[in-house]
Amino acid sequence: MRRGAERLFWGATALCAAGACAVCAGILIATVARGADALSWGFLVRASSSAGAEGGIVYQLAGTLILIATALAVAVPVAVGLALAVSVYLGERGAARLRLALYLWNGVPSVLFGLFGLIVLVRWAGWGKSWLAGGLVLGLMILPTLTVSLAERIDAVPRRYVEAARGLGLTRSRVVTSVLLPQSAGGLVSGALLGLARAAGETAPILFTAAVFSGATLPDAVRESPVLALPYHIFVLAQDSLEPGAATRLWAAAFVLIALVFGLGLLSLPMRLRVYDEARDGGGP
Amino acid sequence: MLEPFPTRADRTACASIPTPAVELRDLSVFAGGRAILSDVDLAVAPGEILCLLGPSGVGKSTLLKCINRLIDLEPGLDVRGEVLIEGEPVYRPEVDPDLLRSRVGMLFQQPVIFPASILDNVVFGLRHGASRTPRRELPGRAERALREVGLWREVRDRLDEPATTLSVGQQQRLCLARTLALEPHIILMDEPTSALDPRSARTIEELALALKGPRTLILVTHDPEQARRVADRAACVTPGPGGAGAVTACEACDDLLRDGRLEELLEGVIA
Repeated sequence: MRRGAERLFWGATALCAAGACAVCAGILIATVARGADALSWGFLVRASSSAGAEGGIVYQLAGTLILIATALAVAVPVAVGLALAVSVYLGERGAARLRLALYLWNGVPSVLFGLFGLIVLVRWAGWGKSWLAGGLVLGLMILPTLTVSLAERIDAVPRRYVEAARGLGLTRSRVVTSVLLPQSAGGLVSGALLGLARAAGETAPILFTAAVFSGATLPDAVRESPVLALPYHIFVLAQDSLEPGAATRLWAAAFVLIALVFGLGLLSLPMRLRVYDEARDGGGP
Repeated sequence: MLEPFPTRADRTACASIPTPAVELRDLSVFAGGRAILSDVDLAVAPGEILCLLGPSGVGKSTLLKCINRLIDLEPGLDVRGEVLIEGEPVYRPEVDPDLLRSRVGMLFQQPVIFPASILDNVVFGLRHGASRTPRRELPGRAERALREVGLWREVRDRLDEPATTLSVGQQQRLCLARTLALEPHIILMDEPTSALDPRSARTIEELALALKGPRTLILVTHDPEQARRVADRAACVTPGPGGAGAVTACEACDDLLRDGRLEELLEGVIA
């Protein structure tokens, strides 16, 4: 009876995992199959032309990288501060309130971040459409993901490390910099990846703040310096283009976007594995 | 007939050492109004090894943590009474608890190894702690500490390897070296051999004996035989009325362990 239930549970789990993998594989295969004709080195290094029906996606790729790099630069330091507030500095009640606020923040629809950027940065601050406005808005959007991921890792650092470090005379701030943050770096990397994957694929926040469909190259200022971006490019091609060439390029661009997120994940893998090994081996028996 | 809970005058008599390295006066610890430790008076002579014996959960570790103020990290605990280290009260507002902890070393039940190299572990307190040791002095201090715990010959060729590659017994000696690198006068040991095999445990005991003299050691143990092997004096911590731990005897180790006196004390508790 017990063995039967165990088998049933194992089967249901395997089915769920296989289903999820199958959906991912299906999306990947469909994307590659439909975009394969347009995929080439030239597609990556040439600028688009004829409303996306010809040429490549070099500036869309560059714009996306600029936006997510800005988002990370904005979000990482703030996330570190917030995570330390939640896990180290605030009392139980304050930490619970801040955690709740972060979960609520994470649930805000991305279009609202876009509208916030439009009202505050584009109009009130007078930046116009700008890569910095888009990066800031994306940074705000991924902030709770990064913070919660890092805070969870800080909370998971074994208490014996903190006790041993304090026993050696380390101040609380030295424990943070010498014990807690080095051992939670994996959480920051995981959170950053999750955040980046979301930021790289979002259209709504950059629609009003940073992205244009054509006419932009690399930004050389802050004000009135929009960028091209892959998700917006895909969005416009999917909506407006009836050209068969554009459709192929749309799928090819979508594949590049998936590959970009996957590539970022692979880049961070050695560090995540190192952190995992240290966490697994460290701290004695 | 033995009195299970001596009078206050009896307990103060346990503390009659002219110039103690560590002295506890009327020390009590409360958690939400409930006493965990009650009116502890204890004096530890410079250079001796004092063992704290008693049943699990009676507050021996809490007592140790009061001495180096590691108890400050436990939320909701209220410490009353006085702790004096070499005559100086440690619970005065002007005392820096981080500096105090760097001077009163502590060894825990299980070795706590930071995920770093052997060398980095030994100099961890020197590099990141309150002592602000110049970087050029670190290798020399590390070698001295590793020699003192007998690890130098075993690790000198692999100081850059992860400390987690050491056996558990070696890890505990590494933790002791990390503490000794800070050159403390007083070392607190909270059941340091409970996670070790008998051979490694014996090595730690021999190290404790080698360290006493210039240093004062307070060792928490469950094992009366271990106390007999290493301690000059032993104090028995037993739960009083309401469960709060109290020092019910503090005398020469041989006296406390002679003729089943310790067992009698502990049986009194159970009864």
